[in-house]
Amino acid sequence: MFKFDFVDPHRHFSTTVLIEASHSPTLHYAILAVSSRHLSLTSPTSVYYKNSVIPDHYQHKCLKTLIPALKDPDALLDEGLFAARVILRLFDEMTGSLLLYNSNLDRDLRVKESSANAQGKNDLDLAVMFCDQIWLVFIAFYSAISGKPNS
Amino acid sequence: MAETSNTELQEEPLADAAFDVEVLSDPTNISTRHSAMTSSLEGHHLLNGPSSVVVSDSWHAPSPSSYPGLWPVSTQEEAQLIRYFLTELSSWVGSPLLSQRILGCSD
Repeated sequence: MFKFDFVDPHRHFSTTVLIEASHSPTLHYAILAVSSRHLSLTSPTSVYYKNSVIPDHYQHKCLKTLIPALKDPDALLDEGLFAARVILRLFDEMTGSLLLYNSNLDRDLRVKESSANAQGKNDLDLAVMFCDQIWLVFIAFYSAISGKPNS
Repeated sequence: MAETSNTELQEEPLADAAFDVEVLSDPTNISTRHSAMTSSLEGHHLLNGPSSVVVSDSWHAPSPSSYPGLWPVSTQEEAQLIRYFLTELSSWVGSPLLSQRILGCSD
């Protein structure tokens, strides 16, 4: 199974991202969404099993804070935003909706991310970027399709 | 494999617990998940049971004061989901203090 810190020796998603989530509503709800979605698909004993209402509710709350943040110049400083994008990608894959993938929202986030990276990368930025690329490779293998690099 | 000289951290009360909820090891199955958490990770940490955490010398836990004091978790459900993310979707990392501090629990 894919894990965000699969190849990250510093395990940023288990440490830094969780800390960021304590003051980033977007990241907070992204985590809640993906966790509940995963439980809804994999855990028959869970109250979330086959329940899409709760994951969708958290995703909705996440997007409600994510979309306005794209218009905020200070959002460049919110490292949680980019981590949330990667987490929401997993959510989409599990849902099968691919709502975020290649959407305008995804592109806007990537533009923001590039702008932020141009101002200097920190450890978390690099971890998120790396996780994103690993995720693409993982999907390519998992889906038995050829990987198509995002540009 | 890292040095095996370990320091045992006994469960201790949190000075300013982030929130007052009982956080379960897993939302799905309390008892089995709790025992399943007894695991080893190379050079990072060992969870020996509900009341003790053994941290190897190769991993230095950040000071608890470096963690945010408040986590905006309003319900136990949210706390469980965050813990699930930590243990199942990111990775179980050698950060028992983080788990203890943020989620208000210890394994």
